[in-house]
Amino acid sequence: MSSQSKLNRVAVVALALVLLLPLGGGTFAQPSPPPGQKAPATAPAAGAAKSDDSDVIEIIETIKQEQKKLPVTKGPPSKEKALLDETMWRAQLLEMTRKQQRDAEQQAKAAKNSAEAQMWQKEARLKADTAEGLKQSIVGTPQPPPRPAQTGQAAQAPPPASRSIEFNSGTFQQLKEANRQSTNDANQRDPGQLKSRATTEFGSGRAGAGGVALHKTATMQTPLDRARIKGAAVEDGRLVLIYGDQKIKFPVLEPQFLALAIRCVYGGEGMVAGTIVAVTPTALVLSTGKDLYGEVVWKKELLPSVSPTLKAGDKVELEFGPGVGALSMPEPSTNRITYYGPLKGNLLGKAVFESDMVFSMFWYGIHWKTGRPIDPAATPGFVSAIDVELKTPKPAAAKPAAAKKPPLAPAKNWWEDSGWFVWNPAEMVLQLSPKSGEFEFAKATMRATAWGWRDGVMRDNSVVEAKYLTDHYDELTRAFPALEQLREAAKAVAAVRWLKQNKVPLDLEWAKTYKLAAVETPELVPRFSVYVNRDDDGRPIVEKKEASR
Amino acid sequence: MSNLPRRLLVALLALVLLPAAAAAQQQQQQQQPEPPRWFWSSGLGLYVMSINDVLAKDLGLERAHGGLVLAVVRGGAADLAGIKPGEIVSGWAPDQIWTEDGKAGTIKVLRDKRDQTIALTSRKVAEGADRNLIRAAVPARAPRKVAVDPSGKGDYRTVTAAMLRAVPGDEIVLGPGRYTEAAFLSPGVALRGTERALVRIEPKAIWLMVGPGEISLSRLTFNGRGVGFEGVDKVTVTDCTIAVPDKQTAIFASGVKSLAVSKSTVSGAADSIGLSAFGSGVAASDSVFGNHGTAAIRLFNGSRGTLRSNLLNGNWSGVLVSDSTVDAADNILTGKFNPDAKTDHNAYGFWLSKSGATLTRNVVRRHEYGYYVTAAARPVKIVEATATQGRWGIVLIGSAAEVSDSLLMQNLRDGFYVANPDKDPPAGPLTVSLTRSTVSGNGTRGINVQKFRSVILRENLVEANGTGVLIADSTGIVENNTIVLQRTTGIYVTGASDVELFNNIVAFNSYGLLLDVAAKRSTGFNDVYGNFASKSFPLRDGNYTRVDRYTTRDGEKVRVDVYPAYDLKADTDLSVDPGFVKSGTDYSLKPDSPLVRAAGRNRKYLGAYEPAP
Repeated sequence: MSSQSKLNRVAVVALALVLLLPLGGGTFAQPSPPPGQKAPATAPAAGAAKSDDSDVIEIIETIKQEQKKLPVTKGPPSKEKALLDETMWRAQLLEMTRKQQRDAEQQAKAAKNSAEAQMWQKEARLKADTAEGLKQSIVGTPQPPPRPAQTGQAAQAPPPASRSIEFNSGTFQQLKEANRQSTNDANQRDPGQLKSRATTEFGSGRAGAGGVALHKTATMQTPLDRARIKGAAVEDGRLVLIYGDQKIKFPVLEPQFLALAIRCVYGGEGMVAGTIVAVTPTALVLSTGKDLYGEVVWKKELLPSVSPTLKAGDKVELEFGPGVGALSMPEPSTNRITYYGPLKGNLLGKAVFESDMVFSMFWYGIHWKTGRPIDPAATPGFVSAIDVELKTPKPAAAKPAAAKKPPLAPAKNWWEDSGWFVWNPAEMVLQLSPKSGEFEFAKATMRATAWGWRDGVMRDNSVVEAKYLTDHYDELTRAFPALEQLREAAKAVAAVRWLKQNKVPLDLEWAKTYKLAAVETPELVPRFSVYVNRDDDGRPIVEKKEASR
Repeated sequence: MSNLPRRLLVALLALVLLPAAAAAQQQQQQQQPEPPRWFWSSGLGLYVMSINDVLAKDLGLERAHGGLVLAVVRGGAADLAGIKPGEIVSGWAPDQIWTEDGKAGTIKVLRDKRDQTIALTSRKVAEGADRNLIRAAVPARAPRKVAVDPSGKGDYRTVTAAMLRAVPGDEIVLGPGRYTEAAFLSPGVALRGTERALVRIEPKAIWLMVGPGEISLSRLTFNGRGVGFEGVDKVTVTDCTIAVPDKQTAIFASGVKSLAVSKSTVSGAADSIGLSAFGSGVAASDSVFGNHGTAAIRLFNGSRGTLRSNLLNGNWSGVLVSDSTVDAADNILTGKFNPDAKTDHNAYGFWLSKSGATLTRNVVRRHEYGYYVTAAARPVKIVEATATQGRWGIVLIGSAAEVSDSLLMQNLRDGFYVANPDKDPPAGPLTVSLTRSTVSGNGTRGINVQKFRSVILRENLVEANGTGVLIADSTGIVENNTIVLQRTTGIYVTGASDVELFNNIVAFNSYGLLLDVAAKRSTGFNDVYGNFASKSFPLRDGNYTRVDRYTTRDGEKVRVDVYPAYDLKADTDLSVDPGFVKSGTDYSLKPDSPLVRAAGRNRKYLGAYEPAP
């Protein structure tokens, strides 16, 4: 901006102006004194707080100094320069007006008669008002002092936080505030600082909101004589119970799942060590270190067993495995998959991981890997939460205010505001088939559990969605075969846990030596954020179809 | 003159020429003689000046009586009835307001010291013909300086008398004092005050000049009513102060070829206008227009305005231009926008409709709309503009425009808004460009383009707005911009758009590029870096966000915004710290910035600032 020419031009205006308006919004006409009453020749001009120009000189000098600091760049105009130029113009006009005020005052003193003196005094008052308005247009309107609190009253409330845009500030104030804000914005958005802060806040690691827990122990529907249970073994890839002189085969189980189930349950590889940092009657938080699983929040009922006397500070080992979770990393939009138990790189790891990913695919209708929408038409059995919500009748009118839930108290720890969806076995029931003489699963069902550390953390429809997933698990397995594998894995784990619960001896050798197929299991995955357009009732908004052309 | 003042004046005419008894009673009540003022009758086609004792004395009349005929319209009813300028008329009953054609009546004319009754029939003066006036003949003489002084020390006590006897070239000098008459100005004279602060003109009607010729006013102070010019060739107003109250216009011009206002102060009140021009050529310079409740300057109906170095302060609107052209430079317009006030609406710095404009180095502050341009078929040029502390910076509706080197800063809503009107969109595509401008700290969007074809955004700094650039269902090029620190999105392109995004630096916003996959777009050579959708743990990568659709089993589409969307990253895009000299205040690139050597499309640099060689 060729501001210098601008400055010169407007300076001409300043010199040329003989009478200016009050710029601070004051009235133009000042009341004349009543007839016969002579105004004092030296009446102080309204608003004329200054008898010299020291304040103007200070302003002009400040502007000049600030102008010297301005960088010379080739590009869009700098706001500092534009505002300083405008401020300089106003300051010069102020200087000129003060001079005219003084001239008018002198004229009033030298007036030939009282009428002429009054005219000049009026002129001087107008100049003074104008000068004050000009000064305010530079440095802003002075704020009234705060009222002292009266007896019996609370002290005056502080003024509301200033908005980001001040509409009646002077140009100088505006410039200062604009610079303060943009510097503040720049600092707040500095990637280095953000990453550093995120690393600090990551702390010991916050386990993500989802996972798989294969905690369930099968129940045996057929009464067995415990005295006859001698042991168990794996023969030809089949788990068998040595029952007296009988060998009763368990159902056919995926050997890879079986081997890993044995390693976890009997071999202790599903145990996760850490320190209890919080515990309630229904849940606990286990700190395992940020390089392992972070701070893992677990619902007690999703553990095979847990001591009722656990307390914060206890160093314990808990049987999280086989299972999976996710850890939000300090790196943006990145999750680290945490496999509980020896699941990395094998089929069970893949099954639990992909099952976990079904949650996000269900909620948002996008694929966990690509972030692209899943096409239900091309994915038999797939339904997303969006479909479910749109099929659900609109909620009734808002409940009376009295029925509304009170807001939650502020959380003291990160997990208090979190909620989790966990795939876990619902019922695993074994029975001896009279027909085949082998054990078979009378029931093997899975469920999705939605839970939060505190009541009210989970949205109402989260519970609905969890129920939907539970009720439609079989359908979903068509779209996501991993869920079928998960059920198979859950059967294997449940059967092994039954053995363990009944203290049935089982040799680990087969499980340890079983060669697992190498399968890729991701360690870091993108954490997609998805925003679904919703109406005031929280329902997804369906876009209007384009009019036919 | 518009119809409204005409009607008003005719009504006033009836009041002034009341029967003598009524007038005497009125005078008694007021204690003061009514100052002279002019009246116009469209039915009779004449201008009449009421006469008080002072004017009567100035004119050499025996007593104040009736009205002095100032001028008659050639071919009008008065002219046809033989009424001459300079004659005294009276006996005008209030019920004989002749504004229609063919109404018969009588009027008294003082001839040979006796009232003579003349019958006449009204004949409404046609538009335009009212400026063809016959004025009182003045004996020829050499121009001279004429002194007017209310105290009687000059040649005349009244301006009216001086005017009536003036010849072209006369300089009428007003001495100190208060002038209450509403003068009817004669062509060819110059009116000058001895000392502006001491010459106070306080009439109850405007000072008016009608018809061809020139006039000059200088060093005068008008308080209460302004001045009006109709069909005048040339008007010069210099070093004057004109203050008008509510609903008044300080300077009115209709069909004036050249009106020049300079070094003057024009102030107003609620619903007042500073300068209002219809079909006139106007130049205003080095002047102050303040506190006008409607507008400081209005240029309508084919006017041509040149505005230079004026201060427009505390007006509701600054400059309103319709079906006209304006060339404005180096003006400062400060309004009274207060976002908390419920009454703020439609207050403009510059408002232009169907007009041409070149606006250079104007500062607009605290107007609800800084610059509002509608229906400009030819590009309006806005250069080195400042628009700040309003609700909107620059608004372009159905207009072509070239905006450059401007500062659009801290407006409550959008800095730069482009759209087509809801009704009657322009027939063909228009182009709007915004180049080398700074768009900073605006509340909602820095740049908002709605359903417009086409827009070019090039080499702009877009900083710390709500959203930086919104291209909504529009066509455009977004190139070589530095787009930083937005509270939400750097660049947002909606589905029905067709855009080119190249060579931009999009950094440190919450979301960098928010692109609807349905949009037609070509992108590349953008540096998209450090855009975080959250500022605390867990950080969310907002560099690229996809606006997509989830199709339900029933075929319904639901919008889903997904990020990060790495698939939107063009092969040529970069993601490196731009290395600004000082983020927040100086977005030029440090010498060691990785972008200094980066070449974008057409081998051009990235961002708005050309790296130092």
